[in-house]
Amino acid sequence: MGSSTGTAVSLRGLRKAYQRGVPAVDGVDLEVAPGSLVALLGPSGCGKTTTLKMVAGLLDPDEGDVRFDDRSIIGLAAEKRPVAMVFQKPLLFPHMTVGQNVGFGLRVRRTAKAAIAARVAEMLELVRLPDLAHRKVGQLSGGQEQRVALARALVTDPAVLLLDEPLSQLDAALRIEMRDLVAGVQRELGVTTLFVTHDQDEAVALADKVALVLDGRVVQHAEPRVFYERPASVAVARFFGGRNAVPGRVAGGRFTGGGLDVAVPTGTPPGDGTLVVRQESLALVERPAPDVVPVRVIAARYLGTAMTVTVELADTTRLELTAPPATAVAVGAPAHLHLPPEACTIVPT
Amino acid sequence: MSGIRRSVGLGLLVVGILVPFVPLALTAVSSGWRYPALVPQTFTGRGVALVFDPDGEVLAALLTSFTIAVTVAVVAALVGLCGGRALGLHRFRGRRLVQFLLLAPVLVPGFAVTFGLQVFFIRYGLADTVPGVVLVHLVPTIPYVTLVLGATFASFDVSYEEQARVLGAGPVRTFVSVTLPAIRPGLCVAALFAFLISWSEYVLTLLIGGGTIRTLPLLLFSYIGSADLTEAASVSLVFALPPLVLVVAASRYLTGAQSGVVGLGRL
Repeated sequence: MGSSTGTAVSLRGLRKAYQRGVPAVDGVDLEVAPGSLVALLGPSGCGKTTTLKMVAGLLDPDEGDVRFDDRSIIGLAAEKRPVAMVFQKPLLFPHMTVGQNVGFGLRVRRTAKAAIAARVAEMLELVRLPDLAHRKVGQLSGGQEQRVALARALVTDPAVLLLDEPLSQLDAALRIEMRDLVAGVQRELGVTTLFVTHDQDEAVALADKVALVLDGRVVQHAEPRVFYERPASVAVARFFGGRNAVPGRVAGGRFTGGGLDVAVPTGTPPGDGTLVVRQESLALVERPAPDVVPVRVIAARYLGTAMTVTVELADTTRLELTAPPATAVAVGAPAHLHLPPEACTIVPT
Repeated sequence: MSGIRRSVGLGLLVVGILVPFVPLALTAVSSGWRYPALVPQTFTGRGVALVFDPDGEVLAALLTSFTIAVTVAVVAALVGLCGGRALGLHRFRGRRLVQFLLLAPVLVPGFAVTFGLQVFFIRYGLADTVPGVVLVHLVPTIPYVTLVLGATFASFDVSYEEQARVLGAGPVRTFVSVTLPAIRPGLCVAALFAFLISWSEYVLTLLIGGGTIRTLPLLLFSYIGSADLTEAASVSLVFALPPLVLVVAASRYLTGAQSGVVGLGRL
């Protein structure tokens, strides 16, 4: 153990099926750099919790390997693995005090009593709950419970920390507070962390890197901003709230389709492709210019802090864009749409 | 509930349970109690002497009954832990059938079941032995214990065990430190049931014990048949008091919300 330098985690071809022929996890590959925080992001039922349980040793994979610092830990029982896990529910043991809960991992390792007490105090300090060691578990608030659960997981100085949607049962304000606490604690300790969530905002705000899991596979693993700027597929773009996908063809360094004709980055493979562009990258402008296409405004919706405008291209393909709330738009009128080529990504159709 | 209502309820309960014992206790120490006397006229220590005779059959039967009932409670609880866990935590094919088959020995009269079983007990040399009687007492107790523990496990969240394991606790440590405290009320009630069923079992003990294994119910029947009311009342008290003490002790132990969950209440 000893997380000061961090442990590299590597998942290779992980597969798990609960019923024959219905894979929950269908070949997950993931490399996690030492000391980094990676979010496993995906809708419910995509296999992310199953993946986490295989890393923890609570489930055996049907196929594949889990390696810590390039040593396989497959076959090692959960209690022998240098991991700690925080679940969706705090799962504090109800017959123990807060201090006894936090010290549990040390007691099972037969650590000396005085050392346990010191370490428990240190951990409670870390999660900003000092002086609560003697409190009964039933007297804590939801946020406090989850912080105690975090302290309990960290007390044994695990090489890898696994977090399974630990914030999902907290209310919005508390969730953001806890998110910052988790991020702060993780950076302070430098413990390699896998964080499962279905909330893309949480993943983006918290993680060094995000691994998007769809249908039991990692479909893209990158820094958060890449999911917005260079999504790997239409499904990835849609999961991150992208509204615009225009099918077409790439030929001679240009994309054509939906009435658009846009230059594409060198190296884009020719053939069928779909153009993906974020609604935030589009804008309505006054007059024709380079990278500006004629459109017609179909609908405009005022949202307080912004405005969602739907426009139609020459061939009735529709695009959506986010405009400042004060934008004056005339529904039904022609307009000019600025489509910066550098914001466009061509993905396989 | 207000304090007064609680006290009144408690008082009624105590009266309801203890008053029937008064005539029994009086009979046990009287040598003559004829109509229309309200209390016995003459007293005797004969009943007390019979019960407390160190070489007497009552203390011997008490010991036999106690040994058998405790063993049955422990074994039934161990079997019920496994069966109850499977029934309560897992949704497997044939679960309903298993539940029904579990109840089968309770639905069919014990007499019929044991008549069929007796042959095997004789063949394997278990007839007329304490282990044999323990074994046959498991037939009516395991169903109850398993069903009680099945219900207990059904309301137990296995994630607690997973949490304990990822914190470094092995299977044994997890069971002792996490599972056991959570299911303790149900386990206590289940074992108590098994003890009480075994303690008052007559037919099965007679059939398999063959009269060689003399438990308190067997002894009590022979005293009731002898028409000596003083002795019969004394043995009845010895038979009735231990379960009562046990139930009261258990309800004290399983206090508050726990006792509410298992339907024992606070006595």
